[in-house]
Amino acid sequence: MATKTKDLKEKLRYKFRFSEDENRSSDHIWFKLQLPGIPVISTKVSHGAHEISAPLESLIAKQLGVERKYLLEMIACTKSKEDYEAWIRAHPRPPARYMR
Amino acid sequence: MPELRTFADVRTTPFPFVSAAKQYSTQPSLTIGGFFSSEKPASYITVLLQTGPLMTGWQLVKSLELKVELDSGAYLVSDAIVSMYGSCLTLPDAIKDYFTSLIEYFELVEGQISEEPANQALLEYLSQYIQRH
Repeated sequence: MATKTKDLKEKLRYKFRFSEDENRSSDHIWFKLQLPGIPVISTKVSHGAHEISAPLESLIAKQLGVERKYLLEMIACTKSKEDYEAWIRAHPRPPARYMR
Repeated sequence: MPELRTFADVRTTPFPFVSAAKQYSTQPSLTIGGFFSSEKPASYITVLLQTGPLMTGWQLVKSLELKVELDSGAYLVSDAIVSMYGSCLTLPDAIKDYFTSLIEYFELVEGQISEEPANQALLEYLSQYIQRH
């Protein structure tokens, strides 16, 4: 079953405590999460579409630093905010080896 | 040039993405980095986004490989390096959306430096690919 855009936005805002980055394009929202000691995590979500396709889910998951399956678990509430933060700290994006 | 709606159109049109990309006047040139195999149906192709002016005030300083796929009738353009994507009903508009996202992401990270010094390293990483000019 396709993910509803509304569900993703609500989960990012209220469960995972992402905030909206303002002053961007009107056709999408940027969500960001700043955790201490690591680069900001951010993703772009469209205003328009009611549902998110599988390819788009994969791209949003990648921006969030997880696999698509993990993102679906975040939306389905089988991954908590604490699970996600622990994962992000263990798997920084982009990987440290790519940083100058 | 007729609008390309399916990958079947792509298969029967020589170098469609180069032609389609030329409709978008403010972008760097694109070259085909991959093409369809006759043995296995392809769901996407990759193109190389070469260095050059990106949008007004911005330039790409290192090439990026873009994945172009059709997603429910829309073009979806993404990269595996910066993890950015753009989507729209036409390829030129999807590429433009990708550029916009890349720049907005850069500005977002730049705006976070005062909150978290770790963002400086991410900004330097992004600066290997895009810069203001």
